Amino acid sequence: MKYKNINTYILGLLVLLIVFAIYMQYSVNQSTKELKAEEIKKTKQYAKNIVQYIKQRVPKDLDKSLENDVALRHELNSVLQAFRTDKYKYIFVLDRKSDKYYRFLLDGDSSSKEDFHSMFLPRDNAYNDVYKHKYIEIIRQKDSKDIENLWISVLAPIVYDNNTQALLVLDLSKGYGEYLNNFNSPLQQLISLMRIFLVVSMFVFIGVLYINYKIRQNISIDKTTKAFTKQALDEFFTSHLLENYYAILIDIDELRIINTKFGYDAGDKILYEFVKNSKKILESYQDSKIFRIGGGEFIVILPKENIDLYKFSENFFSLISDKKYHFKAETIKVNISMSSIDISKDTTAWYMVLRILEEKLLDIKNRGKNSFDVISNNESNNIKYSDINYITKQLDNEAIINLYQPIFDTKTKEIIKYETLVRLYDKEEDKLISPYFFLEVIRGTSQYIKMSRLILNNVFNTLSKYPDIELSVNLHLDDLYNGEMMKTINHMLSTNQEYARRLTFEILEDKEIFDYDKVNSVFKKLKQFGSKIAIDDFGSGYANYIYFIKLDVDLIKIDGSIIKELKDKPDSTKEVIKSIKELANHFGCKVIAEFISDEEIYNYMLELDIRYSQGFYLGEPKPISEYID
Amino acid sequence: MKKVLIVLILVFSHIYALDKDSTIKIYDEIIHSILHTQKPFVYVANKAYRDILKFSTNIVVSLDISKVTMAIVTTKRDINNIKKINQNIIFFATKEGLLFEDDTVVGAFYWKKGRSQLIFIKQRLDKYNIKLPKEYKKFIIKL
Repeated sequence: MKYKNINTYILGLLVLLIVFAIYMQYSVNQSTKELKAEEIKKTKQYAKNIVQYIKQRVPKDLDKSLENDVALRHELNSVLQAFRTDKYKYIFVLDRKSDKYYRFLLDGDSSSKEDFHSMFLPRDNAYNDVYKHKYIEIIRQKDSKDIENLWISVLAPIVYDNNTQALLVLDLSKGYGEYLNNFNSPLQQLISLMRIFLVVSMFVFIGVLYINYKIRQNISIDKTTKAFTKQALDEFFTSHLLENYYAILIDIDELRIINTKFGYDAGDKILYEFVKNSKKILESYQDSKIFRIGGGEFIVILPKENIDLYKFSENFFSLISDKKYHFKAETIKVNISMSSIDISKDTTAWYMVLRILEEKLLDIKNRGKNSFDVISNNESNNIKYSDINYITKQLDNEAIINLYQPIFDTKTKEIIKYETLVRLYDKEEDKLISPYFFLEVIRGTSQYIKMSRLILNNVFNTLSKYPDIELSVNLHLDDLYNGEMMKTINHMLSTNQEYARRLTFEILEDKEIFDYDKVNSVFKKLKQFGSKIAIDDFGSGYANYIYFIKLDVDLIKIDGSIIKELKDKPDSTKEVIKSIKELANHFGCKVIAEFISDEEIYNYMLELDIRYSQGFYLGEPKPISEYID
Repeated sequence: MKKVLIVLILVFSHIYALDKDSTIKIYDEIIHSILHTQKPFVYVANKAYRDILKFSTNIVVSLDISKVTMAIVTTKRDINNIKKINQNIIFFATKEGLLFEDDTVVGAFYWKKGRSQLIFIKQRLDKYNIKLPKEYKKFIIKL
């Protein structure tokens, strides 16, 4: 259950409880109403029975009969008294003297019996109506100063020969009405408790929502810049479709230097001004937003509607990069790097977008900062291959393919081995996916080990199938330090020892080696199986001459960027390559030149007597069968 | 004696069955319907009634019979005693029976079967030239 949904669930639960309480209240009210209606019905029948009895006992001339026969009067009074129960407060019989007053004929009250023919003044017209229309009438007695302790009065006409001679009045006590009202009181109490609980819960819920709203407001707005925060960005894309937006990553270069040089106040002011300026530019783009995701890093999101991303990026970059910031007496100009992307419909997670934007930004910075670039649709469309869930699914389906690029003897143009290059296979689009999209995403995860195992299995199968070939596989420097990875490799080498000697591990590194002993001990283990060690991209980055001194390697692969330089600066490049070759020869290392993209470069290799060559000019990465079968 | 005790209990229980405010209100209305003065002087014979009606702000409950124009009476004895001092007094009863025992009683207010009963006798109202408001017409009967 996601946290953001909890409020909805609680609100839903409260609404359900409220509906339930209303239903309960309605049911109780209905039940009480039905109970009362039933009781009134019974009372009416009771009144009819009494009337019936009186008429049987006095077949005609009720008033006269009672006036003349005191014994009969006493007898009927006693009968009425017998009819009285706890719920019937009064039972009496009246005859009408005039429209205004009636007289008592019978009274079932023993303690305060009214005298025969004593007056009774009804306050209600119902008495005359019943007398006139000869039907039973119910009077619901309301609380007033004129009525005491009565709930309902039933007026039943005593009719002889279609002539109303008297009225029977049957009073139900107020106490009995209350008893009926309270009949469902346990349930009523439960509903009252529920009502209290719901009211309190609602207040608590509203309070929690308010606090939550305040907290969210605090965490969604960055205090320094007033831009939205990273949390707000993550939340934004939980309720908005990624594919409907453009995303722009902006980095204020050298913010740290500004902070150091002018102080943090200056840095903060620049950030604030930058956001203010950006917001002003974005004002005309509805639903656009700016988020601060790092020190000087911002994300702008923009709905795609009728906006050309490149034109927008160009305009936006020009406006924000031209801005000068003033702090005290200083005027500060900042450099800005910016990458933009049209988020493709295949994008399933924000981190995929951010990763590709950051890679592009790094690329821009490597090219000299203070610039912008828009990620191509091709790169953007391949974004799904950076989704770890997609990669995991592909690895589960073993949708991994090894391609092999041949390495030639430069002089004889004979293939001496093949470099293994991994591709992910997108079955739906029948497309091979470069590791550029997925390798960095899974590095350090269990999927990486899984993928390595699949690659090595393919490699050993290939070596088994083709006994005359040699293969090389790439191994990242980090893999050497990864116990599980090395355990897997060693296990696979030991179970495939007969092929291990035809295998070369090409070590790729993007950082300096500090623990040469550790690396050498790993190399030693690999060599024990007969495998060879090559250093990839030699001459660039950290792969340099120190390796000849510190590491026991069999081959070096000259970095492609050096080979490329032969086109522009052949003389100086040749000197560098020559020196690498001579040094390698001195240490007993063989040399491979990669990126042999055309005949001209190949001829340079011949001229420089580079032993092995690799490149598209000589052979592209293909399934091994295309080279051998 | 036993009967007297029961009657007393019933009278008291009737008085106390009413709350003080509604008794004052009822008698205020009745007295003002008979006497059209702003703050009439009234004698209340029964102590229990007197102890309630003395709190009315619209009537003055006086013990000086010679100064009052109306008396609230409960027994025939009350009427006789009052008549000895003041002959020109209007009697209003708290019991039905007094209406028939004394023809100088113009009306009565009492309770029967949980219902208030207010009666004015037309002939006696006419005799004293008492004009009741229109809304009291329904309580006027001819004997």
